[in-house]
Amino acid sequence: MPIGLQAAPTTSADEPGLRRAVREHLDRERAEGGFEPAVDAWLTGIDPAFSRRLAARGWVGMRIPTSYGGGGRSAVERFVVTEELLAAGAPVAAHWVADRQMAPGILAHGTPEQRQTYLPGIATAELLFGIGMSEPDAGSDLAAVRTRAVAVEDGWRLTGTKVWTSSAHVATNLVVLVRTDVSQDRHGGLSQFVVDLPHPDIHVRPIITIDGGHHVNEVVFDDAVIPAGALLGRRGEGWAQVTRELAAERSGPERILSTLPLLVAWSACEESRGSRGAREDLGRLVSRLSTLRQMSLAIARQIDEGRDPSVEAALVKDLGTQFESEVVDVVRRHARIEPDPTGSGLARLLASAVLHTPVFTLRGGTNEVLRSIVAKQWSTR
Amino acid sequence: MSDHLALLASVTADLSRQHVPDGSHDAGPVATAFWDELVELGFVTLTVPESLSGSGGDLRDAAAVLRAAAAGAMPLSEALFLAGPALSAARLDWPGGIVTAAVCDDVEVHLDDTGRASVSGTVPRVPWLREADHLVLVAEGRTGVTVLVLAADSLRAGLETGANLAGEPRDTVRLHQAGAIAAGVVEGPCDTGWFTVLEAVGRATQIAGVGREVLELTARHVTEREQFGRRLVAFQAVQHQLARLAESVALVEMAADAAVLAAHDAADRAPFLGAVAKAESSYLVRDVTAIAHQLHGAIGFTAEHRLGALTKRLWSWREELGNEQHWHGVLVDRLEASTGTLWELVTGVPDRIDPEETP
Repeated sequence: MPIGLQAAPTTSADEPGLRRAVREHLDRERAEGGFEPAVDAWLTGIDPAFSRRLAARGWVGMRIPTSYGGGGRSAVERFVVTEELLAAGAPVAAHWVADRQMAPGILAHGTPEQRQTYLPGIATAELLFGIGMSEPDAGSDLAAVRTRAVAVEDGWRLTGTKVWTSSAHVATNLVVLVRTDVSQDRHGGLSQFVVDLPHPDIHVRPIITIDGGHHVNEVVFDDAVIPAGALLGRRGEGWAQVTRELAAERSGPERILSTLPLLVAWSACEESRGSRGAREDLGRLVSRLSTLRQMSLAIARQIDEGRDPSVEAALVKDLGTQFESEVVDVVRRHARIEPDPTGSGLARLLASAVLHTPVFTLRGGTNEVLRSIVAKQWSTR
Repeated sequence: MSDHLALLASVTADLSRQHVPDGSHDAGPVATAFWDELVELGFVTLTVPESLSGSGGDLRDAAAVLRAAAAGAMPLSEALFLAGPALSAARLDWPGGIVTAAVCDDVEVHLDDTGRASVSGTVPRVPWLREADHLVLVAEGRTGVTVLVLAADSLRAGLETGANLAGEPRDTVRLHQAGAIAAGVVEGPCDTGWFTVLEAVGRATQIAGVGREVLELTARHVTEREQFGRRLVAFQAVQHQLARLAESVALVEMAADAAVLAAHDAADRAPFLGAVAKAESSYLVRDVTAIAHQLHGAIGFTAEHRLGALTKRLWSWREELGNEQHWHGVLVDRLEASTGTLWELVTGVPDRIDPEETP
């Protein structure tokens, strides 16, 4: 049985209240000039002050236990909040990786000291994380990482280069996957480290993407020495730790909703219902959006129950990221507005959406890799 | 899945293996023995309370059974998702025998002073009507939605037989003041649209059940069949097609499941999620059938292979009770009728609190 996803009631008693509270906060932010709705804002919308105001409402680090300064909330509650942030196109990029991935990672694998050092800061959005996995020669093939850590007196010496590290230029910390040991198994010998920034021997350089923006970086570790206590989890267990994080990374609503602000804006225009073709396309997107949300929510529930839905997450990400591109194509065809990055309203949203389209089906595991994961249950039998 | 639902599904799946013939022959006459065994177990009347001669289950139970028996030659979807809820709503007893059902807005219902009801008009393409014992008809009467139970043998004269691609009977009947053996009006605010949605959710559930079987059949084929000295599944191109098939089936299952759950809870969301379920399932039939046939190669195109029996059902069911174009349109109608944004519609949470919403 490839997937065990079951629909669950979308509404808990307090869901409408939580949704409305987030919407009201965002309305106020918008009214006060806090942000303009943008597509792909979870990658491009870097605004640490916005993140801190959000944290003050208890909406960052919701899954972190209260004993570490977090919200102690469920995965489903976090799902509701992240959905609302994404739908509004809010600038959440600064705290996104820390909230989604590093907090659960540190909680699961960190020492008591690491938890105490990092989790409270994540919950207030004072600590912003970047994640160093990909390398120039290790993209989809993550096991090919060559950045290495060598044990030295009072710590580890890191040497190598990471690429595509989102928000590293504003991050206070990085979590990196590096090779600590030689191993016959190419998944063996990898370890994770938490690195504090800035560091004199760690150099963050911008990688400019085709939209002209600076969202991602190259991070060079130039024999950078870090303390012994920086090892996250167990030496040599990095691969297992990283793959466990991937279910959470891959199944979230940001794999469905990156272009939702464009769809919401277009569907508010009369023309979206003007022609028969537009109506059909709009209906198709509404239908698929509803179903994908149910799937993503079902995975959030499985994570809540302590299960590991990594195959399901791969499946949903393949479908969800295709949906994100489909939105762009539908709006492009029917809106009859030429995309203009210097324009306003739909023309500007469309411009950034078109320019970001290639990356939806690449980041966090290409769709080809995801399909192989889905098919693995049969191909390895 | 809860133990209870899993048990219903596995008992039904065992019966399906006994009673649904292999190969892709036409569905043909009603699988009476299969139906009778399901009746014996109380599985046909799960959506009718015990006080009305049913077995007192619910729509989730019904969906578990229907998925596992989706390819059975019988009007089980009509019994579980339309006849049962309609009879319950009108407080009428389950009539027994083979029961089929239809919603029809184009008929005229007459209720005389003694409470006897009759109906005139044309009811198109009713599943297995030629072999049914009873037809449960849901129609718009003068005083609201009326549910009529008609003895099917009194209808044979006006019957025009037809069939879908899988050979499942779809018979059109012309009624001239046909007398009902029982009738009742559904109380409360309700229109036939609710029953149309339920019926469509039943068909979406069948598409989910057969879609899953198509996936399992295809996965088995590509893991057993060898070409170029390797199992088919060893080819990455095949793996990726298989993954796309699994994804399409997962979407159908989720859409159907979510609609069943909402209908079971009688949630406000049920009409929306019901429309989504039939839209998604109908739309995805193309991918499911195309990939499955492509991966099976020519053997899947032969009458002796089981695949055709399943794909012919899917190609039929996607058109029945409204195809994706119809239901996608319904979703846009709902968006236009609402005062909120697309996001408010999809989440089911309006920005402003509805004064009628209970805290």
